[in-house]
Formats: sequence, structure tokens, C-alpha cells
Amino acid sequence: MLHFKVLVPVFCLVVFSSCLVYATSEDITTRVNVYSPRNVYVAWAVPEGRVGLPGTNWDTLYYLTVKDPSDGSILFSTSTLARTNVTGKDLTQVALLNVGVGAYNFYIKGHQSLTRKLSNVSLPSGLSPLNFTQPDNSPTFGTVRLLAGDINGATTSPAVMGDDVINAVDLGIMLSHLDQADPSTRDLRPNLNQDPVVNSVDMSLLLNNLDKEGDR
Amino acid sequence: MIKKIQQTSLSYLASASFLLVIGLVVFSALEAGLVSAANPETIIVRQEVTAELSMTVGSTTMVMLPSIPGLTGGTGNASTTVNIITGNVQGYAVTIQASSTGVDGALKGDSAGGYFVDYGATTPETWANTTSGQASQFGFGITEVVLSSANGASGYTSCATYEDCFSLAPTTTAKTIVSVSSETPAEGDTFQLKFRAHIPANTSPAVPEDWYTATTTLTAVQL
Repeated sequence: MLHFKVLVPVFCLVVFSSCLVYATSEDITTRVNVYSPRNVYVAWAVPEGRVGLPGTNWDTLYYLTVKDPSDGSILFSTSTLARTNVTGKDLTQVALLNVGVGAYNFYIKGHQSLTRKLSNVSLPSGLSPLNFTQPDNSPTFGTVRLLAGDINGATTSPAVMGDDVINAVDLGIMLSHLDQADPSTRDLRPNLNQDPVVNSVDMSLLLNNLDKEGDR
Repeated sequence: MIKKIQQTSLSYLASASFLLVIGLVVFSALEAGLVSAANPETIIVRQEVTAELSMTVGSTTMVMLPSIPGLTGGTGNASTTVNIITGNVQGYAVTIQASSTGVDGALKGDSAGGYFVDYGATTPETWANTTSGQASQFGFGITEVVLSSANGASGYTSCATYEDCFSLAPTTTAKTIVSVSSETPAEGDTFQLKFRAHIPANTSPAVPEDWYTATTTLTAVQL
């Protein structure tokens, strides 16, 4: 709350006498953003540790969030979960409502992984790819991976898909599923590498990321 | 003979003494009465309390939300509360004026050269959107919340809802939006100052993608 109390005396003449008037003023700035519709799609988002040849087992459930770099406020978030294909892509266009001119931080959160951030991505009008294998959204395929191990919570909506930290809760879930078979390779969330069984390989991936948190 | 003269003298002396005592008693009584009836001195103490005026604006920087897609159109709104306190028994008035650097509207693009067309009404009215293909709009209005007496500003006597009392923001002459002819209570008078930007679908002239900014000056004066 701004409180201004500036008294400005102004003398004025009225017939045969003078008067003293006090006035106070404030300048008010009003702004609005006009934007062209912007769409994005996931060019690449690759979970770490998946078995098989590159580009054959990289699918993941995910959601996107867009934040203002200046204050971290959320400008846009997908309301439902989407899925990348086995090549780590999802070419479905996401319309960014209420996101205007400027550069923004983009975040992806996978159903088995921590949040990964792309910082200060400038959005031209039209369609833009998001490449989470690069730290700066450059267009070539890179080496950045989604860190595996955040497996608590349900996977029914963005709000309940993990807590973005890998800790004892995730470890407990992993231990409770250890040595369980997963013939479809995608039924059990602790099956981090998406092979047919939850085993020490998945445990190792989780332990390697223990106490890590998602990008903010 | 001598004895008679002495008796007469004594008699005179006794009479004189008696009269003297009576005189003293009467004088004392009258003197006390005179003292108690003396005129009192009146001491007048005065202190002048001059009228003052303060204006509190809830937010001097506002962003109209939501952002507006330039092609399909939409409406952005922003508002803030304004509180006026004055002890001036003649009351106060509040005026508004928008700054302008050219002939375009008050809401101008920061970098792309575009602008919003000023809202069509010069006198306050219920907001009415332009329709597809028509011009954009930028206007302001007030909604009265608590005023110590009726608003005497022309056109602003009935501003009960958010849609009421919108007009263009004047750039050449300040417009009186509140005029109250009495002092305010201790908590002051409060009203809502609101701004609205609207783009209809396929607007003409086009409103390019940009941030648009308007600066308005709100002034409160004692009457």
C-alpha cells in the first residue's frame, strides 16, 4: 500500500480576498499486454537410465509450466498430463494462454523424474519447440536428462505427480516394489529404466539422485 | 449647672459613639456586597485548525488482466481503491487527466507503435464493447464505495456497479470524477478507480503485439 500525503499550497485570488487551496496528486500507470497466440511442443525430453537403443524407450507422462523469470510467478501450466513418445517427443501443440511478449522459464515434470527447467526462452509468434536435452533450448539434441526417482504420489494429474524431491518416501516405494515383475515395462512407476523388472538398477538410479530436488 | 452640662456632653458622646458603631457595621456589610459583585475577567483561548487533505491510492502501477490476444481479442481490467481524507467543511474534488504525447489514444504501445483507441464516451456511461472488426477501446471509470455525501461530479452520481461510469481518459482537460461538499469522516471517503482495455476480434486499426502503457494523474483538491 502506497501512502502519499503531499500537500501543495496554491494561492489564488478571489475578489477582494485571497484563498489557500491544498491539493495532492498521484500519477497512476496502467499497462496491458497484447500478444499473438504462441504454441509450443516438446521437441525432446529424455528420462535418464532407460534401457534399449536411443530413441526407443524415452516416453514419459509429463506436464509443462511457464514462469515469469523476474518473480517466479506461474503464467501458464498444463491442466492435464500428456505423454511423450518413445523418441522423447510430443508434437502436440500447447497453446500458451495469457503469455505475451518476453522471455520465460519453461519447466517439464515427468512422472518418474524431477522438474527440469529451460531458462529465459524467448518466444516468437507462432510455434516454438522446447528442447529439454539442452540447457538453453538450442535446437540440437543434447545430453541433459530428466533425473529419475521422484515416484511418490498418484499420476492422475499434475498436482499429485510427485513432490519434486527424491527422498526416503521414494526410497520406501522403491523398496516395496523391489523384484516385482513389470512385463509391460510401464505399469510400475518404480521401474525407472522401463525394463521388465524393478530391481537394483532402478534402485541405483534412485540412490544416485537421493536428496536432489527439481529445478525452481 | 455645670453638672447638667456634663450630663448633656456625655449624652452627645454616647449618641455619637453609637452612630459611629452603626456606621461601621453598615459600611462593612455594604463593602462585602460590593466586593462580591465585582465584574469577572473573561479569558478567551483560541486555536485555529486548518483544513488538510490526503489521498491514498492503493496501487499506482497496475496491469490490466488478463493479457489480450491481438487477433481474437479480449478484455483486460485493473482497478484500485482511492481514499480521501479531509477536514475541510467545504469538501473536496478529485480530477483525472491522462498524459498524451500525440494525437493517439492514452494507452500507447511501448515499442511497436500501436495504441488503443480511447473509449468513445466523453460522459460516463455503462461500458459497451465494440464488436468484431471495430476499433479497440481504452477507458476508465469509478465505482463509489463509501462517500460522506452524494457525489456532485457531473455524470458520476450513479456508479454502483463495476460496469457503470466508464468514459475516455481526457488528455487535455482534467475531468472531475468526485465532488463532495462536506468534510470526510476520520476513515475518509473511498471509491474504486478502474481501467479497461478491450480488443474486439479482427480489430481495426490493428493492435500489434506489445506492452501498452497509460499514465493518468489523479488530483484531489479542497473546495
